[in-house]
Amino acid sequence: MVLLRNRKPGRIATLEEYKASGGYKALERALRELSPGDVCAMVLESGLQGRGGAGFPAGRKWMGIAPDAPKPRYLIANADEMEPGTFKDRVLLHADPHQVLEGMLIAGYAVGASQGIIFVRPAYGRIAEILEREVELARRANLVGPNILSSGFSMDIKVHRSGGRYICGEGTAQINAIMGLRPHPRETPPRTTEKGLWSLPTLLHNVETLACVPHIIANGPEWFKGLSRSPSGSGTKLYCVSGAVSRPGCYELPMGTPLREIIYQHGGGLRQGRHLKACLPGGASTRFLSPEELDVEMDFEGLRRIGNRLGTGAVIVLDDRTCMVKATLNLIRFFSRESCGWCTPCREGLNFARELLERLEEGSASFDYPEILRETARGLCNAYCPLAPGAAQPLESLLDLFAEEVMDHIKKGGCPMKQPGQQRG
Amino acid sequence: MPRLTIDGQVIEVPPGTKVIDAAEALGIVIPRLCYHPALGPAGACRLCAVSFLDGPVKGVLMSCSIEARDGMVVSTEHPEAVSFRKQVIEWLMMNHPHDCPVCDEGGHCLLQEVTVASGHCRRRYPGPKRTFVDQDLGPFVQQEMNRCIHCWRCRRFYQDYAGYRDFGALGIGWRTYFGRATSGVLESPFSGNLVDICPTGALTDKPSRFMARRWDVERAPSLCIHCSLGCNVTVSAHLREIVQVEARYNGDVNGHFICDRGRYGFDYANHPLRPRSPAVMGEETSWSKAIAQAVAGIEEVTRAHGPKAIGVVSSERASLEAMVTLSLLCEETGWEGPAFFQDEETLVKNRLLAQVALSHGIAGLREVEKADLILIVGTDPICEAPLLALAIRQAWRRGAWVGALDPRPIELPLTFEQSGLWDEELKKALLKGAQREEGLEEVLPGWKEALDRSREIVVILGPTVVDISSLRRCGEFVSKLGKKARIFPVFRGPNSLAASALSRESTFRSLARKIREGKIKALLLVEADPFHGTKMRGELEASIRSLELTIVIDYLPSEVVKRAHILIPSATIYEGGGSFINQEGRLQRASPVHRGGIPLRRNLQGNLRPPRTFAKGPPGETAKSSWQVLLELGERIGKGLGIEDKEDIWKVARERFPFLWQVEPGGRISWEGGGVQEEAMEEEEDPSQSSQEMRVLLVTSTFAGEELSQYSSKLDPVRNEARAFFNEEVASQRGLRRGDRIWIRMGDVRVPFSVKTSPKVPSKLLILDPGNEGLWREVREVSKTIGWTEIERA
Ligand SMILES: Cc1cc2nc3c(=O)[nH]c(=O)nc-3n(C[C@H](O)[C@H](O)[C@H](O)COP(=O)(O)O)c2cc1C
Ligand code: SF4
Ligand code: SF4
Ligand code: SF4
Ligand code: FES
Repeated sequence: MVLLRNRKPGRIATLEEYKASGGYKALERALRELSPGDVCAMVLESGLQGRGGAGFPAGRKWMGIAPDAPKPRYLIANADEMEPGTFKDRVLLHADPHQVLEGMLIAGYAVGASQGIIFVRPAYGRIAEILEREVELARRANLVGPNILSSGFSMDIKVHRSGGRYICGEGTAQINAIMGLRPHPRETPPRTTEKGLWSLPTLLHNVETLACVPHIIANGPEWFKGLSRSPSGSGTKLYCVSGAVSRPGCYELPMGTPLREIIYQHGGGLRQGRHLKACLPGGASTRFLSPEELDVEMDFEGLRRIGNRLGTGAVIVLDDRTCMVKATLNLIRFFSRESCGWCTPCREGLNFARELLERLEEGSASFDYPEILRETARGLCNAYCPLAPGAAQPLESLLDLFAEEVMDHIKKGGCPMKQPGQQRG
Repeated sequence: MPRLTIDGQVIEVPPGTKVIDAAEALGIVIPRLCYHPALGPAGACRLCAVSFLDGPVKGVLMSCSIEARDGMVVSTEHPEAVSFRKQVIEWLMMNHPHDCPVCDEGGHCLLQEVTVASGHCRRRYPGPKRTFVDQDLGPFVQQEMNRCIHCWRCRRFYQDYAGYRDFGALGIGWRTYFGRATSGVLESPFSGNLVDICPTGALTDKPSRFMARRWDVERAPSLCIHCSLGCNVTVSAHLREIVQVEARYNGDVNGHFICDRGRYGFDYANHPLRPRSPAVMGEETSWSKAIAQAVAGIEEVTRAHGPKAIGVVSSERASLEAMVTLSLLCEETGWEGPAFFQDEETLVKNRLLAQVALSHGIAGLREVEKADLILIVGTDPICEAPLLALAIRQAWRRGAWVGALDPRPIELPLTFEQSGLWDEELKKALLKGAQREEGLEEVLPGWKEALDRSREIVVILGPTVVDISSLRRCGEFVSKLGKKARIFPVFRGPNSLAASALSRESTFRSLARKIREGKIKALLLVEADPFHGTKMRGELEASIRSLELTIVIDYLPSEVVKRAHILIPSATIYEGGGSFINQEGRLQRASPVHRGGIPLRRNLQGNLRPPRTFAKGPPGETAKSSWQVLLELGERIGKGLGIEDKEDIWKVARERFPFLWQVEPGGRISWEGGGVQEEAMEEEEDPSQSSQEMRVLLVTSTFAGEELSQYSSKLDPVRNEARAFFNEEVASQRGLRRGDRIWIRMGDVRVPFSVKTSPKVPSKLLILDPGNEGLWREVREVSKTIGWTEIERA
């Protein structure tokens, strides 16, 4: 275990405990021995990919901030974590907040940022308090603030509480939100590394990505790469397992661990007497994955190969008693509610899809619904930002993998899984 | 220059051109809803999707957001793109109430157009329609949120482009709502543009609501004459009534927008008391009788006292045709005038301003938008030339620095530096500025740095609060700034520049002096009301009363109209059209919109349609343009000008006033200014220097004080009350606070004011905004200075 090595039940690792485990050594090393360019190069070499969902190579992102880019520059740690099924950032921050702070400081040093901001989901109010307290402690230890460890490098860190919408997790929307604007995404280019917060260069990362950074600096990029089980991946990954398993939870495993192992070995398999029907491998914005595909290596490349996405690595397991229409409806309800309202496909199209799924489930659907749903899913992919295309993933795979079940809903006038006498809901 | 292929046609466009515009250049109009040239791409509606078949990007993408690049192969008709666009329409129509028959947008609705074009005709969405509760947004904009298709244009205009915050987007997702936090009057004086910019019937024009279907109105291109900017407008008339004014795009002048004064100021033309029929001594009479009486009167006065006993007064709102005819007529007859300005000082200031601006390179709104340093001297843009504020904001959004020297607490939708200087202090500051580059740094922090990095400077200069020598200082100051600086003059009226150019030495004050001396016995007033904004009502009243003959030609129910011996109604710009020269010297023409006449009452009781009568024309439509009346008068007194129609006026004028006429309409005149005889002007001593008294500065505001819009009932709900602006510290020493009500005694009347305070107001100055002018009707003379003994708490 790397990222969760200091995980304890019920409390965080204190600054002392973190230091005792080797914490803040990497920062010291970076500040004393490495140039910002060296740090960037190491992160690039390590093959670290963003853990927020898109898997973009972190080093390439850092290189996007040229040494002569305007100042001040900002660093944002994205702890919005509203992707359904995803709770790894919460576990990580509850376990070892200083690890994330150290990652921020090293990243900030590498790209010349003078202000760090941690963007926290409002449901994580406790985390925001912890972070504020720990930043203060770090400040007293000269780890945050002016002239860190007498190196001449200064960077402050602030905690920003989100207003609380899923779209605030999207990088460009988050930047708007921090500036007090409506959280609409913004089209790139310009990338946020060129024009981000207040139109200045801004590096934005998921907190898990940042937590990896100290380990790369401390142990070297080769070591980090070697942590992965698959050749295409690097490092470890916090997989969240939820749904119909007997041991749901957040597990830190080598990147590329096969899905079967994650579900059956770590997640404890399905609950008594149940069978796996499908799962979402990386949060709500990924395609349903069928039991035949369970041997996939859970890294960005492995899932891409089978036409799916690693996303946040949040595995949501659905068993044989689950109605797939209802499960999809649940997801689409979420996406429709959380649409920012900027573009037509997402704002209207998702609601259209929701109405159709609702009627499928209730039993007032007609035979053209699957076709309309498919058209809708296709149209969602022409939206302004990745939210709607993400929402199209489960919807499209419902129609691909469970066409018969959908048709059954129409023919039988409602959900065939519903037990007689069972309440609608 | 990128070369790309769109639907098989190759086109080369300037770098930065969006694909949607490149296509339009080829005559291919890609449907759009959220894209607006002034607001830029938003990528929100997704209706402009086209297929990129080859080149740097591929797939179905938004043509409004993608810049044309070399080698792109674009198909607007590719089945994939077409079916996606149809899908977008289906989505947008899911919740639409389909209430086109009662929607005022019907007939010119972009949503209707694209929906019909897409062939959408079958409803597949089974759910209930989303509904919203509407808000009352005040007197101008009618909201009907159920018709909204969420293109975001309104918010982008209102907040981003115009800079006001009280209207915007609320909520999220499919419940997103465009409105205010609560019902209430929109705060922006540009709110009416929401009506133009909304592509659906979600935001429509409230004053003209349910008055006419679009295809039944008479429409023509016209001009706004409510300030000197000369914004281009389209005017609609229905059943002899002007019902709506909309912005008309002119890239050289106003762009896509106008202000609310210009949009809702038109109602003077429908005023119930508007003079519709000629009258002699208050009795309505026929045209021929009125003209005959006028001729007889003029001849009598001329016989008894000579032609110099007839004074001619016009104003800055008269059309160029009227001004030229009047000037020629005066030359021909030997009458005194024409006087276009109130007094010598105003005349000199206007001429000087014109001269200073024209000789330094005059700036219009486009130059303001492009400037990177803007200095405002003696102008309150929102009040005097509203749209100018929007232009300044656009420059500011691109990074321009803005500073202002003005004693009024100026409000602009942007961040700027202001110093409340006037008079001696202003003069001193400008002198320093003219002496040293950084001279203004002391009063406007940031000036020097802005100056150092500036490449295009615009100095906005108005003649109302600045005195003559400061105007001249400003000229020197701008010369010092060199080639990169231009002057943007702000005048009071729509035709002030022409009035300055055509003026001789006569002013209304000089004519009044001659009336008192008994030299002038008759006045001919052409579209002029000396009572408007006068500070010397008592004196004026006496002068007018002492006249043997007062002939008034006008379309306003003005105060002087009420006192006319002979009244001849004239046509407004909507019936007669006319030419005007705006503040940057641009000659523009308005077309007649309709024939006019007394508007029909619309009470849905059987007389909505014109009644069947057997008269030659509708009642009240006999008004002629003032220049036509003048020609007829001239003819009848044997001083014909040999002019038959407008073309003749222009022919004659081209020879007589070449400086005004060497341009085609739409261009800028080449007059260099000139003829300023300032020696005649003695500067007044500052009477407050030694005393406890405050000097009085009379100002106007956006919706109160401009002559024509004063008569527009549409603006009544937004007119401000009378306000008195004090220096904050002075006011607090006297125990006065913002919002307090006071009386100010002037002569034997007390006028109520609401107190405003600002640290920007100089301590020895009291700024009075009469607001709704009615309150001033009884003040015989506005005092030049006011002491604290004349102020009492209400
Ligand atoms: C709708 C939407 C929601 C997102 N929510 C989150 C989130 O809650 N947390 C997160 O780290 N990234 C989220 N992302 C991804 C971010 O946009 C961004 O790619 C990521 O934070 C970058 O960090 P990384 O490079 O470390 O992955 C979201 C993206 C989308 C489109
Ligand atoms: S897809 Fe469109 S509406 Fe949905 S969140 Fe993104 S920008 Fe907003
Ligand atoms: S109110 Fe009009 S302009 Fe505003 S979003 Fe709706 S349709 Fe667009
Ligand atoms: S800015 Fe002036 S010219 Fe333009 S619309 Fe307003 S009042 Fe009319
Ligand atoms: S016009 Fe291009 S997305 Fe609306």
